[in-house]
Amino acid sequence: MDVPADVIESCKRGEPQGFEELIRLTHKDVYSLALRLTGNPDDAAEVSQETYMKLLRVIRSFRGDSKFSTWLYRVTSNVAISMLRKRSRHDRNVSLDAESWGDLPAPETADPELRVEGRLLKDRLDTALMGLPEGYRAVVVMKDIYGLSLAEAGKQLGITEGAAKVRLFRARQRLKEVLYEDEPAGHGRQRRKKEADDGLS
Amino acid sequence: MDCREVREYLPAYVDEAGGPRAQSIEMHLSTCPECRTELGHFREMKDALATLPARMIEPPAWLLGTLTETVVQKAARREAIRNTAEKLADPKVIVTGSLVAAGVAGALLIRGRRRRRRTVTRRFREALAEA
Ligand SMILES: [Zn+2]
Repeated sequence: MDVPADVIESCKRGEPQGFEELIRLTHKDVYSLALRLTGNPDDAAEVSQETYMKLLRVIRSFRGDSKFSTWLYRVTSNVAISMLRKRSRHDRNVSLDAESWGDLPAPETADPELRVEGRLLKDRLDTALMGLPEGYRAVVVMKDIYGLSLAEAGKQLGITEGAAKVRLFRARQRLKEVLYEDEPAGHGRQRRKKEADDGLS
Repeated sequence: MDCREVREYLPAYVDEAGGPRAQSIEMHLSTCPECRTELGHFREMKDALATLPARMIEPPAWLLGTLTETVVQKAARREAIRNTAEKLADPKVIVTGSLVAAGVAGALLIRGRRRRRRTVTRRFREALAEA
């Protein structure tokens, strides 16, 4: 993300054309982060809109002591987590709690998309992330993907930094299992080969 | 440390090679290729995750238009309110207005202007909050 300083200054003065330019330059970043946090395109679009509406009010508080991208990611996550929190009150499938970890399916039942042979690791990451409960995925997304601090991630989720750290390590462990198909050495490759052969016959 | 213990620490170890248990972990890693492979996976995964911000997910085609319309419209409304408020608070407008309307003395005028400014500022804030 590259936002020139004069665009930020224009937004700070409240000029509509500044916001138009800011949206053009950043909406894909904002939408991608919102989608990675919410896991749902409609919610991601709504979060994007709310994020810019919020920016109208708060952009003057951007002081430039952090990178603008980091600041924008923080505002976006804040809006997205608030939405997830609202959702989790009505929808049992959405949970920001630590308890949701127990309901997680085993890696073997994860999305078949992940098993496609030959796809690059980075092409499979987004699919793998969606297999994590929201409250765990949020920590990985904020910390490992968007570079926010663990303290910040914890604050957004309303948990301690230590609790955020535990979630991060668990989530990394699970992602690693899913992405590298953890099985006794060699078996994964053999089974994938067999599945591929079966698919051909 | 055995393999099981080491693997428990790898998701943390990948951040900082020099943790409290670093020495025991390193000792094990130097003799265990399987755990070294594991660490390699965590490192590879972490590096790949850090590249995701640049790998954007294409939003629906209508999003840019909708965002621009709603947000820019709102920005324009806020700007219009601000401009009106500034004009109303402009001393020239107030002086002329006051003279025509009341033809009051200078001292009173200054007091009136102050009060007027306060009201305008308050109304402006309210309007902004509503916009
Ligand atoms: Zn080992």
